[in-house]
Amino acid sequence: MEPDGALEDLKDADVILIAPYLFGAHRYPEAIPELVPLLIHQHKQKVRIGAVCTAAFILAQTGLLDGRIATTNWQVSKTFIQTFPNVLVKPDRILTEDNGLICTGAATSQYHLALHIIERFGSKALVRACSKVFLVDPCRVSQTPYIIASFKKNHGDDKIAEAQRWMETSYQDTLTIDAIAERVGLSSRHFKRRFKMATDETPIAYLHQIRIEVAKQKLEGTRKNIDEITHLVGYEDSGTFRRLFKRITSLSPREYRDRFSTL
Amino acid sequence: MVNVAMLAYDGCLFSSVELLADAFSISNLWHIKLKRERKTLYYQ
Repeated sequence: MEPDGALEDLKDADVILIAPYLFGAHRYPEAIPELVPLLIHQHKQKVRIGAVCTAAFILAQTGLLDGRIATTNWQVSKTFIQTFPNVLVKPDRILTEDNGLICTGAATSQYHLALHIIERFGSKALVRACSKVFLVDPCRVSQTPYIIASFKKNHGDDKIAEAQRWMETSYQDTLTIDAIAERVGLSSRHFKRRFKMATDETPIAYLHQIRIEVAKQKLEGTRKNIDEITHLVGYEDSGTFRRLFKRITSLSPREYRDRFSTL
Repeated sequence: MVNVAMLAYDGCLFSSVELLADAFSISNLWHIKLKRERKTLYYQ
């Protein structure tokens, strides 16, 4: 693919879309010096600017997203929040638009971006027709069901790492935070503080995430019923399990199985 | 006519640029079909 225009041509655009970069391969790209004032100028001219997936890192360097709602690929959302603390990040959202600044989540959310722009400049009928061609549900607003929990472990706190290992192997038991703290030789209060500092999560939220992640695997790859899975992952009450599952994934266990079962 | 500019650069995912270009091309075709007019909605 070859470029068919120069940066100057952006001045004629009604919508500017910034392509994402492949994260993991390298650090996010620095916006070139000429680009930042150009994007700021175009934003002032009411030009819509869309950052596709990881391109939110480039748009955020202009400062335009400060105090604005944005989203990005869920796999880099924590890094984004740390790098741009003034942006109001909604990592669960597939697409956000705030003051003409559009951001999208991961991969296929680009189709949602296309549909969003088509609706803005076209019509709802056109969106319906295109969504059928793209095989994309235009009503889907969350990337949460697709998120795979990732746990921070390179923090260098051995006691917290030990607690994490214990939770990951004993999640099916009745675990209390006091018991985990005692096991690693810390007071409950001290443990909670150090755990949050090391992992960015509270111990109880961490434990819930482990249990829900295991439950997702059981729903995807087994025919066990919801009550069985409830007990397998360490909950006594399926009502509590269902509520937590919905809160973390935005789907009920049954909806999740219907969508992701591999059987 | 709406002018959509796509900003690509070294190291970007070109599949994303292609996907969006295809999406707007499809939208153009359906716009003509639905409105029964020859003028396309987007300029790329």
